Amino acid sequence: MLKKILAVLAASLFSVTAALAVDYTGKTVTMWIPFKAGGGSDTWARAIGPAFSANLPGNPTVVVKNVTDGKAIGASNKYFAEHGKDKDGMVVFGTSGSVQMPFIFKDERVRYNYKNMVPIFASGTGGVVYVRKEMGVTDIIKDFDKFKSSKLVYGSQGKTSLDAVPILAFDMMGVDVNVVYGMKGRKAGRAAILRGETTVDYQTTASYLKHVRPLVEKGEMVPIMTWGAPVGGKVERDPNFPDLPAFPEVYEAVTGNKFKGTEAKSWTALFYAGFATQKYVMLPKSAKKDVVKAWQSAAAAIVNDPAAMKVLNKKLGKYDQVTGSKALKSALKKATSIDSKSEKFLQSWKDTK
Amino acid sequence: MPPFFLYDINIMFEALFAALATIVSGPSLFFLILGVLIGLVVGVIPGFGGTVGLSLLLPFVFGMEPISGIAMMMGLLSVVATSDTFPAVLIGVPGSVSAQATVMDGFPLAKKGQAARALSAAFFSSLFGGLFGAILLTMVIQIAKPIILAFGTGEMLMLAIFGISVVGTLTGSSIFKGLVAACLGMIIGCIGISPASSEYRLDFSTILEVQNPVVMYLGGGIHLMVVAISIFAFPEIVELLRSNKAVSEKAELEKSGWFKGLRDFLSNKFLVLRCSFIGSLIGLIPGIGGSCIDWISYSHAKTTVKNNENFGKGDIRGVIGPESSSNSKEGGALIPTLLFGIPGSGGTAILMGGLILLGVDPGITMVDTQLDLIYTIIWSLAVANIFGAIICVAMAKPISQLTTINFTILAPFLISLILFAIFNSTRSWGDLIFATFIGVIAVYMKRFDYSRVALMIGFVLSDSIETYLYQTMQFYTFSELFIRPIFLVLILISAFSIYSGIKIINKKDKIANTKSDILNAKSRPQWVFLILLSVISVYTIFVTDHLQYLGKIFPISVGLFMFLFCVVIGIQMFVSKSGSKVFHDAENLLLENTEIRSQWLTIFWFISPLFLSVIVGFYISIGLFVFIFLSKIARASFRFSLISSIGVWIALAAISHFMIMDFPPGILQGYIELPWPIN
Repeated sequence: MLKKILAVLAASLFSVTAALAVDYTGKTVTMWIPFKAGGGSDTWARAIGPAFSANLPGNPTVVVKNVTDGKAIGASNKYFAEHGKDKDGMVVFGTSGSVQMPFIFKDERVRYNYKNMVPIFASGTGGVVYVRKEMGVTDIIKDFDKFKSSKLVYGSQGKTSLDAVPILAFDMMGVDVNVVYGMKGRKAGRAAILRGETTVDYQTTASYLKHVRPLVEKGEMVPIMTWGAPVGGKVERDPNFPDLPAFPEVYEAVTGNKFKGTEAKSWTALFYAGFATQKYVMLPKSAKKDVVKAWQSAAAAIVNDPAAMKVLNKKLGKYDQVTGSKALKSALKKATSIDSKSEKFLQSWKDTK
Repeated sequence: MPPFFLYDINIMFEALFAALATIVSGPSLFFLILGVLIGLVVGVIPGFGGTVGLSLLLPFVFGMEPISGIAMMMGLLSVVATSDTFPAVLIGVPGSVSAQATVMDGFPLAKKGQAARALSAAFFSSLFGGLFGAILLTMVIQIAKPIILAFGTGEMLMLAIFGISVVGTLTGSSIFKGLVAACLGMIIGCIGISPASSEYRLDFSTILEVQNPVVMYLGGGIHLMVVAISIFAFPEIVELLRSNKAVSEKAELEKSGWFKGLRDFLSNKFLVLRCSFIGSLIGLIPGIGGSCIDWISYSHAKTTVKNNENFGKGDIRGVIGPESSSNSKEGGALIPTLLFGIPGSGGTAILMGGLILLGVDPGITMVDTQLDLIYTIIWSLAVANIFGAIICVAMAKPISQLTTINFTILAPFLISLILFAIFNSTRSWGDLIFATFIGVIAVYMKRFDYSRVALMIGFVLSDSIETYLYQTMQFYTFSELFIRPIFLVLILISAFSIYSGIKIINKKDKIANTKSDILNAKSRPQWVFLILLSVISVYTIFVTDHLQYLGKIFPISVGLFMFLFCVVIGIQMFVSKSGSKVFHDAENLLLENTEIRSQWLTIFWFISPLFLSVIVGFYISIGLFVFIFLSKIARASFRFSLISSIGVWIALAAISHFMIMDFPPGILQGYIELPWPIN
């Protein structure tokens, strides 16, 4: 009898530990991407998917699921409605700046909340601002008067998209830029400056390196500044472009003010959400601790995987891939939370013009 | 040393033939054919186009050897616009976006028992178009930069206006009904986020809460395939079901169909050439998108050939024109993709994502440094087209036998396929509901001769016109615009297109006045429909009025015009006698057939799986529907019905597995946890 009880006890104990250890052997893990296939976030997800597969316990198949029902906001809401209370980490969420921006601008359609999320992995990027050669501006600080008095036209996707970063930056510098809306993405913005219809544009680092730098070498375009990169809590020069000033630096030089106050804080929040840590892999907060741990250590392993990193660097430029619970938490906080003063400022700024 | 340009050409040819050797030898040929086969299947299934097909390939492409990966993707992309002709001709449902215009004459030809002829003429035209695109790409890639950059927003606006101007040549007998339809299309295109002010429009957020599912769905905008399938397929299928016959009116199909198709192709070689050129040229310009190319070349075919009275009733040239251009556009669209990294179509956008995964980053330096890869892409395009066309021509005849089967037997499969295709567009419940709504409107549009093509064109171009109109006004002053030569040429072309539209309508008037097939038309339903349309226009004006200037100016203008046109039709109806052509009612022609089924009953059959889905979920409901429909309505044997429904279930499960998609759950799934794929 005693033997029997012991056997049952041992068996149940064994099954408990088995249940505790995360093992995805033979399973299919889904990355929920609220964007259509072939876009930037999709390519990013498909690049890190196999890397997660190789590094998660049990090497599950990792598939990307593009959910476009109701665009980025609707598809993100849907993730929360369907998987917001999941425990097993079978469906993870991949987000991007276009999901963070409406959250920061308090779009009333947003039903997701970053406070209920645990970040697993984050990728950042940067951006380079450039102008057409004819403007005659080579150094934005020295030639600022020339820049300011030029005909400045910028092609934008909309004020509450990632373009909030450049548009607010132009406003803060006090330059009068004619912002033309209705561009379908940064590619359309680049096409417009190639045709000469716009005169100032920015591209994310990878796109700049691939598509704009050859034009700079041919003498058609001139880079003037970057948005910068996060270095020790501050926005400093982008290490990919050490010769170009970062926006905060330019701001201080041309306005004579310190990069402080509500405007600067708001811009920094937008910069973190849209660039510094733009893309996140996340789990719902309800996920079991072991699951989170398994995912986070897989993420850490990816950073040490040169093959996966090569693709990511190519896609996003050489920026930090954030892993590790602490670093991620503080990054996510910077990218998605905003003090009430800045929030108020952004709300009223959004409605001007 | 030879002169510089000769030296250059020598290098070019060397690279060109080296690339051919890589493509036809070794593993890349295998992957090319694999891509072609997947592409053919993807094209045949309505709702899956090159965009969806390629995105399914992406995970497999990652980690492949670049040449093989390119061969596979190009193989897929090149043949989708070939095989999507099958459903367009055989059942009147476009297999993908690029077969919209093929339906116009391809389906009537199938009704005449000439499906094989229409199909093979389409495949030869498609093959030629594809090769034309490849040749153009070869010649132009090194010098295309100034051509593409010459098309600014002003020119794109004029191209979009030109697209709208072809409505006149394609519309039915009443120009005002056509214009109302085009306005309705533009209003549907306005649903969602406005391009200039980023505001939500026409999403019922003025009367419902913003987080209501209806508002969320409409806020995302309406997907092209949802409109395309419901507007064309829904009324056709309802009509076929009502008359309870086979698609083909003749029991025996015409003999030697495909040879006849080849002859048709050869005797219209100049039309093929012109339409291929149109396709490549518009494909070359990023920003306009491929979806209106078919209509432009259809209209071009209609206006430039002699004896065009049979267009829309089964003229083979109405198939040849759009098929030549729909395949030649991929070659054109590849140019800006490879040159600037700015894709010219939905398919090339995904192709670019795939190229990046392969480590090939298209862009301005590619022409200088990786010319061999560009030629690999070109050859893949050409070789894939040849394979695709051969396979399709070989299948044309056996598959066209489908048109001799009684339609009631085919209907449940088609309805399942269509509901699935619509659902697949954004994978949301809203698509199915919205498609039903548009479908019912389309049934009446067809009956009262409101041009459905006009609605489609309005819908497709709505966004371009609004965006480019706004941007052109910002970028240019009037005097700057009118010194741009391409802009002026496009104005002339549009004016000519409007002129030929008026000419065609006048001709129709004469014919309509000589034979009066409009007898004892009931005017009441016509009035009800007209009032419904006016209400939509007035609604649009009122609910967009609170938006910013940039957000409301376009929908309000369209709404006003639509209301105005409705009033004109109303006056025409008021002053005309009941035999006038304003009262065109296809119902009268149908009623001569004594065995006709009730209209609302057939519409109910069509949407009954949706009601069933609410309770048991989409997956269970479709299989049940097939079974009930076959055994009760088609009176098929129990065994046949059962086997069919199980077959449909297996097919859906396979798709669900490979495409990583879930079907919409019903109330049942909310209470009970069910295993895949029923959940």
